[in-house]
Amino acid sequence: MNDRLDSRIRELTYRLMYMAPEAPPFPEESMTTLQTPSRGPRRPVLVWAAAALGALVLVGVPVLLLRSSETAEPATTVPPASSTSTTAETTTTTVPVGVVAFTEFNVYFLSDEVEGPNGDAGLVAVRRSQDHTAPVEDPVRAALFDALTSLVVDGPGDSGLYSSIPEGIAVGVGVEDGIVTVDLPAAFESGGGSAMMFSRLAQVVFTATQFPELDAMRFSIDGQIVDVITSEGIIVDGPQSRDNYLDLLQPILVDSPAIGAVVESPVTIGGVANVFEAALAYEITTASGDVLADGFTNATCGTGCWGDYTVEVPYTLETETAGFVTVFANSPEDGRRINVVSYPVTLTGEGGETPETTPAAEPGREIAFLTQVSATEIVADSAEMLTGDEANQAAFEDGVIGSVDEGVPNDYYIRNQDDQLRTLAVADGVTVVLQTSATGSVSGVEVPMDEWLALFKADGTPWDYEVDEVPSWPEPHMGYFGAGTKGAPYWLTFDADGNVIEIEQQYLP
Amino acid sequence: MTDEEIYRKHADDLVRFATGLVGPFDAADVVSDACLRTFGSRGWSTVTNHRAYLYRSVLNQARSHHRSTLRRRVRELRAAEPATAPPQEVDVDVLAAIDRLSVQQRAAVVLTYWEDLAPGDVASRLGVSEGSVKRHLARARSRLKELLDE
Repeated sequence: MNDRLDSRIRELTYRLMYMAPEAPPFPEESMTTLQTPSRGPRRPVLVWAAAALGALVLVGVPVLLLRSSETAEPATTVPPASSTSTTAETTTTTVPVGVVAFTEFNVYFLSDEVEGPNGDAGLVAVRRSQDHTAPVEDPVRAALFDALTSLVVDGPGDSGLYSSIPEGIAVGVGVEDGIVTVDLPAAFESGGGSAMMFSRLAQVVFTATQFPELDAMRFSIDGQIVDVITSEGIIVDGPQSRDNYLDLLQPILVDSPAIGAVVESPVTIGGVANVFEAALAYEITTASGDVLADGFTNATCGTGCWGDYTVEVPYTLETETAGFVTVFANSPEDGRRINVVSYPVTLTGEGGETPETTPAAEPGREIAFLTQVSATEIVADSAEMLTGDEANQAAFEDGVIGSVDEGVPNDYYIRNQDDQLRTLAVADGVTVVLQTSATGSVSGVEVPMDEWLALFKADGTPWDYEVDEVPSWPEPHMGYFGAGTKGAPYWLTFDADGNVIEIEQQYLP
Repeated sequence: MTDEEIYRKHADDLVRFATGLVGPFDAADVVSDACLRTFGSRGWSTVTNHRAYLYRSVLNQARSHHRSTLRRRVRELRAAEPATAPPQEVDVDVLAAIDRLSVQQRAAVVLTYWEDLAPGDVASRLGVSEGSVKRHLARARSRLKELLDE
């Protein structure tokens, strides 16, 4: 220990602390804004004297506006590639019968199954498609137009979901410099309080900004770009992005897959979340409740801030079936599932690779998480244990740490990108080694197979905890560092026939 | 205890902590934003260790704070004309020093050298492992040594 260096750093820290400003007042007013539906969240800002701010006029802006049918009929128009005239309104055209293309997109509705921030319905993504009977020259713009038409004109239908957008209105869509303009009639501004209006805006913004190429939008009312939604005084000036509306969301928004999507393995599960320590769990189940895949991932930010998350999850299924993709957080209090978002989807069969019923053919050793154990077979999810720079780089790529420089705790990172499960035969006389601190320092101790199996649930599946988050861990589990949890990694050693001959717990500091 | 009482109890410490993370200019904003989000989050009512949770929220908020902001401030302060020189209480050299550290390293330094917490206590305050704290501290010390020896 370099005392002189320590005292210099201490002095530097004290000098820094003496620069600290006064504590800001309790953010009471803003809190009211967050919690009271009648005033909505901090952004977009509510301005009650909204009319005084006026509105910008769209005239002269080189933007192609496409307008859906003024009736409630679904629009089938796509932007003709040659139509680049300014401020033109393109009306619905009749197209020959015969579908030659289709678009796929998400539409955002409200669901009672997902509790929103104020106890009201949460925002959910629904997968829809639109057939086209003429070639689609620009798939993204076509999908954008179809998505907004589906949102505003088609509505939720009999899906059991809700929309806060008034029925029977039309929508126009334009794109200029990568910014989408969504034109709506004055009726869009009427009806409902500000909470409903925020939901309404959020539905439009999330639907209009779903494509990476077009991630910002402006609102236009009757052909004029507006800064304020006048009925509720909600400022919508400048390009609106999803970031402006995150505080309206429940803690977990699932963007992918969307409700009703037909998915194949691997499924990309992704969205945004603001959950404790950014820790998320996911599960793919069949409608009958069989778990096809599950695991954990991290958002890029958490505990008070919003972060993105995305994870590729493979599953194995022989025939197509209805199922669910579920994303949730575990309560920091007691580990129970909270903020659960579960979307019904169609899981296609044979999407995943055929499960190997025999293990790695070569003798060797690998680290894995165990999803099912018995005296004769274990189901393993192989992982990779990295250290040093390799660990930091991988953890950064996976969004576990904010930068490579930040470094992973304890200089190791267990990467588990491939959730493919393998059923492995356990050799007679297998050795099980668990880590214990009973001797005063952490060391491996051989335990009988039965004793190890008793650490798991009665059905042989692990307890739904990470090794360090077990709330109250009764005997006989004490002292084995969460050996029976799903977060406990094990080194598996195979013989030449691929049978598991040793199962050794990896200690996690 | 109400949110306001919890806030009043910890606000001064949080602002000092935030000053260590993002500098004095943006510390109040970072604390306000972090507390606003925390008190408005649905999980807040289940939190038992308010202080640790708020510290982590401030740390997370600071991490999303633009890292170049402090560097820009230091550059502006150094370039300032004497007439518009920074007030005496702003110590540009100190800010330049912490700019050399990652946000995690700054957190470890502030909690260790200002709050006198042992690595284990820093770890539980920030919700990371003790090994992680020790590593951040070691790197911070190494970088600051280079700087102080210059």
